[in-house]
This record gives sequence, C-alpha cells and structure tokens, in this order.
Amino acid sequence: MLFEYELLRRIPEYKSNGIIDAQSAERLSKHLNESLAGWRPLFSGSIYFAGIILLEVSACFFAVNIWDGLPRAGRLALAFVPLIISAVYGMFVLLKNFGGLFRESAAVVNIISVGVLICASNGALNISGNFHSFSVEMMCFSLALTFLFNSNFAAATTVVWCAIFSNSFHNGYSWGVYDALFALAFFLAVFIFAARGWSKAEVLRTILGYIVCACAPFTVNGCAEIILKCSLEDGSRYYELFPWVFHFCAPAGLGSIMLLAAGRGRFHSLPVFRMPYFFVGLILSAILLVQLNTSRLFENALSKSLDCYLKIWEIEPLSGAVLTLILFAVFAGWAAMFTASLLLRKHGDWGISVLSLMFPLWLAAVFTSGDRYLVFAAASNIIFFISASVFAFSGIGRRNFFLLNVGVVMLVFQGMVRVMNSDIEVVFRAVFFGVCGIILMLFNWLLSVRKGVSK
Amino acid sequence: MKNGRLAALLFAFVLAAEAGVVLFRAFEAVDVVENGEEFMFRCENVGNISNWNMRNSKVVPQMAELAVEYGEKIPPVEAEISKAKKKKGFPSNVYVGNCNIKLGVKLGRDAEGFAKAVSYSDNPAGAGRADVKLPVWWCNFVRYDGGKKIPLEHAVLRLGVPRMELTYSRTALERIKKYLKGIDIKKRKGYVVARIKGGRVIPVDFAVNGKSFNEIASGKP
Repeated sequence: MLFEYELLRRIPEYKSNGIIDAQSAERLSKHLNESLAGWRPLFSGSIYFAGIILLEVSACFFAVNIWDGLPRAGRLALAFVPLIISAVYGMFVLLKNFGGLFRESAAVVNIISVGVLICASNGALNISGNFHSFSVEMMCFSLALTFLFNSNFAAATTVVWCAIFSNSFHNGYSWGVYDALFALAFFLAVFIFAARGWSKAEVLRTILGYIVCACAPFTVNGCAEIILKCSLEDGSRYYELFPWVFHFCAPAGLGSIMLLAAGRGRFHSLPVFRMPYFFVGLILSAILLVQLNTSRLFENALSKSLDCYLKIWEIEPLSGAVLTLILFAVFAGWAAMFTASLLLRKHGDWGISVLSLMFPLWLAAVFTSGDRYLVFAAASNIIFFISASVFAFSGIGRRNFFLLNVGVVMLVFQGMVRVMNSDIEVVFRAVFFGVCGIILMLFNWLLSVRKGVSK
Repeated sequence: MKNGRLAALLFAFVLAAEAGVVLFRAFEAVDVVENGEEFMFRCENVGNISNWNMRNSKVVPQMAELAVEYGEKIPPVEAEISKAKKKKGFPSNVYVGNCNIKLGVKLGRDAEGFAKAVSYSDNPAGAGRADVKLPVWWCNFVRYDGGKKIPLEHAVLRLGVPRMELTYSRTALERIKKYLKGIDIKKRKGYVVARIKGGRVIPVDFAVNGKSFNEIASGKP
C-alpha cells in the first residue's frame, strides 16, 4: 500500500514532466485511489496516538500528586479515573469507526488503565499482590480488546503475558493443569489472530508475528512442564525423572512445524520480513544441531531420556500418558506438515523440507538413549549441510540474495559448531572464520555479477 | 470488528467486567476489614528500613513463620522426611517448601496476644473451622542452641505467613522514618495487625515498639 500511496503522490510530477500523458495519469489516479480507499499511512495518526498516551500518563501523574491528601474512598474513586478516560475514548473510536492507530491507542489506553486500576485499588485497600489472578485478569481483558479493536498491541500483550505466566511456575507459584491449558488456549487464539494477517503488508501485524513466534517455544515448553509436573503425585520428582527432556522437546517440535509451514506455497511470494515462523524454526534447528554435535550436551540431555521415559510409565502411568500424548501430537503435526510440504511443493523448497528432518532425528536420539553420538552427529550434519546447500544453490539459481545468504550462513554456522567441538589449534579456527567470511562475500559478489549480466 | 455499535456494546461489557472485578475485590476487602477477626502477627528481622522493603509508599515487613506441632501426617511431607531420614546427619530440619502444600490453619493467641497456629489440616473442609490457608516451609526435628543441635521431642511444622503490604502516603512515610530514626535498630520489635475472614487476610496496621504506624501517619503526637 505504501508503494501505491507513493505512486499516487508522484503522478502530477510525472504528468508535468511528460513521462505519462493526461489520460493515463487520470486512469492511474482513479485506480490507485480505489485501491487506497480506507487505507491510511501508518504514521499519519501517530501524533494522535502519542497525544492520547501522554494524556493518560498525565492523568496518572496528576493522580499520584494528589494521592497523599485523599482518604481511602477518594483514592479508590480516583483509581477509576483512567478507566473512565479509556472508556470514553474507546467508545468514541468504536462508534466513529476510526481505524488503524486510533484503535490501537484505545486498546493500549484501556490495558494501561486496568493495570493502574488494579494496582491502585490494591494499594488503597492494602490487598497483597497476587500475580496469578493479576495475570489471568490482564490476559482475559487483553484478549477481549484484541478482537474488539483488532489491536496488535493488545494481542502482543496477551501473548507475552502467556509466556511469562506459563514460565512463572518455577517461582514458587502453585499453577495447575488448568492454568497451563488456559495459557495455551489464549496463545492459540492470538496465534490465529496474528496468522490471519501475516500475508498482508501491515507493519504492526508483521511485528506481532515475530513476537508470537518468539513467545511460542517458551509458552509451549512452560505449559508442557506444568502439565507434566502437576500430573505427578509428587511434583518434586519431576526434576529427578526429566532432567532435560522437555527443555528442548516443545521448541524443537514447534520450530520444525513452523519451519515447514513456511514452505507451504507462499514462501517466494512473501518478503522475508513477513516470515517469522521461518526465522524461529531456523534458529531452533540450529539449536538442535548444537545439541546433537556437542558430546557433553548430547550425553547430559539425551543419554538418560529413554530410562526416564520408561521410569515415568512405571511410577506414574498418567504422566507417562500425558508425555506420550504431547510427543505424539507434536510428531503427528510434524508428519502432517512434512507430507503437505512435499505434496504442495510448487517452488522446489527442498531446503525447508530437508531441514525439518532435524526434529525426527532429535526424537530418535531421545528414544535411543542418545548412546550413538557419532551416528547422530553425522546424520544431523548431513541434513543441515544438504539443506544449506539447497538454500544456497536455489538462491543462485533464482538470483535471490536472501536464499543464498540463508544457505551460506547455515554453512558457516555448521562449520563453527564443528570447529568449536574439535581440538584444533586457535590459528586454524582463525583461518576457518576468515575463509568463511571470504566465501560469504564471494558468493554475494558472484550473484551481483549474475544479476548485472542478466539485466 | 467492523460494526461500530456492536463493538461499542461489547466494549461496554468488557469495561463492566474490568470495573466489576475491582469492585468485587474492594467490597470483599472492606468486608474483611470491617467484620474480620483481628490478629497480631510478629515480624522478624526488624532491623533497618531496607529490611522491611520500604520503597516508594509501600511497607512490606518480613513476617515471622508460625509453628505448629506435626501431628496429623501429610503424605508429601512424609515423603520428604523419609528421603531425609536416609541421609547422613539426620535428625535435621527438612525443607518441604518445594511440595507447595497449603494447610488450613486454625489460629489462636499466645500469652502476649500474638497469633499462633493451634491446629491444622490438609483438608480444611473436613476438619473444623480453619482461619486461613498457609504454606508449609519446613518440618523441624532439631533446634540449635549456641551452634549445638538438640533433637526436639515432637517434630514442628513451620508455616509461612501471607505477604503483608501496607501502603502509606509519602508524607506519612516521612513521619514514620522520623519516628524510626529515634529507636535503636537492635531494640525494634514489630508486628502487623491484620483482620481475617473467610480465609482472606488484610493487614490494617503495622507497629514498632507498640507505636502504631497509622497513628504516626495521621500526625498525632
């Protein structure tokens, strides 16, 4: 939309310079005006947005200033003032059908107001803070505002809170299975909200996509841990039985699925910045490569995993069933997406499909007690190398810098992992990195030359 | 949501829910303050101001744990104790805080009028009236006397007291700090006055050496 807007702005200039004739200028203007109907540049309303936020902050400071001299009832009443402001503003925005940043600002103002209201009323009445109920309330209100105002800020608030909430289990809070399911359901709702708009050229929705993808592994991991720990009769036994397994299970599965999701048709039609799942999946696959190639990590994390898995079935069949169900669901999701990516492969994205094989390889390492380090290290390197090569060559073939650089960066990363795990001299390591840098520059120069020749 | 009126209606519901949640909690707290039973809880480590976490306008004293004789067996506590018994150096004090156990505790008053745990149950509904639910941190089998370990006749459960937060205005805090400056750190003894009803605990006052902070805050001589 930004391109159409810019083009529309320049039509008079092109017309006066004689680049296009009057008739074409009129037709083009009409077409562009139609396609830009209802669209506003992102920052056109940013002054209003900043103004509303400043007003809200000013109201809060004003309240703090007169707080001292007020009785308890007065403080409680004053705590409602920001909410009233946000109510009036939100109603105005909704009834006047304002869009874009007005709606975003209305949602933000309401979230801030509720937070201030809860904290201020708790302070006025000496109610001790309860992080659990505060989180639940904020998540509920943020999710409602997400859909009411179609707000990316509210969605981001919800999803970040889901990640914090599901990982606060370690801090002595008594979370239960329902809390984990609650966080997962909220995360899923925001995920769907965000995924609906990833293909659109909206900056805020794209930023939301990155936030959602970054929070995904943390949320799923935290929730899986809560479910498993709560299903054990003696929760503290969790740490005996599962020293490492879940720390990688959820991210690995989720990352692989997201990586594959990137390969379903739209891969080449979307600009790079609108593929958050691709980047998150790539990073998680790189983490798996490190784990499968570092002997100490491999032994610590994977060697005891089969024993733990069998032991938990003996001690707590219910926990064993929950764990099996989670692993099976993740694997089934991966298998379905893998099959779909092969069947729907329109652009020859072999790189993604091959790279996603890191996940079943990691699962195989878990279920073979991780006692064949060399086999898994070799297999993971072969998969990573083939995937990287496919990315690099398809980048050269299609004259695409992004694909080329993804492939080269993967190759460099793989080399770094191998070099770090070998007992070779520092000088050789230095040479290796130097060579990698030259390769990176050389490949890009070659592609520039090819592009130049083709022009 | 494209339909502005429908969206506004739904937004009104959200606003009502937001206000409702806060009002419900406020009315509940007021009910506890007005109709709850009053108890005094000891604070430990009443040394300097930072020990009370006195920041901005909040005073958060460190509460002393309550102790109760370990009679009725609690399975997760027993599991931790049986593990500890296998280790060298037992009898010792066993940390059971990892198990996240909360007991329904009936409160009474000791000779000085401070709250003490009279009885407990892990099933508060089935064992008479419980005043408050408290987490179990430790099961003590020994006490220390000058570095010497002395086994206790009966094991004792140490229960955590809920976090107490008291909010004061900045002017009030200045008065409180001025009062505290006049008292030797080592001689400070503090307690929190709280009201309890239906398992909810709301602190209403904090006192050091018998002087109420509410009185100091109000500027009374």
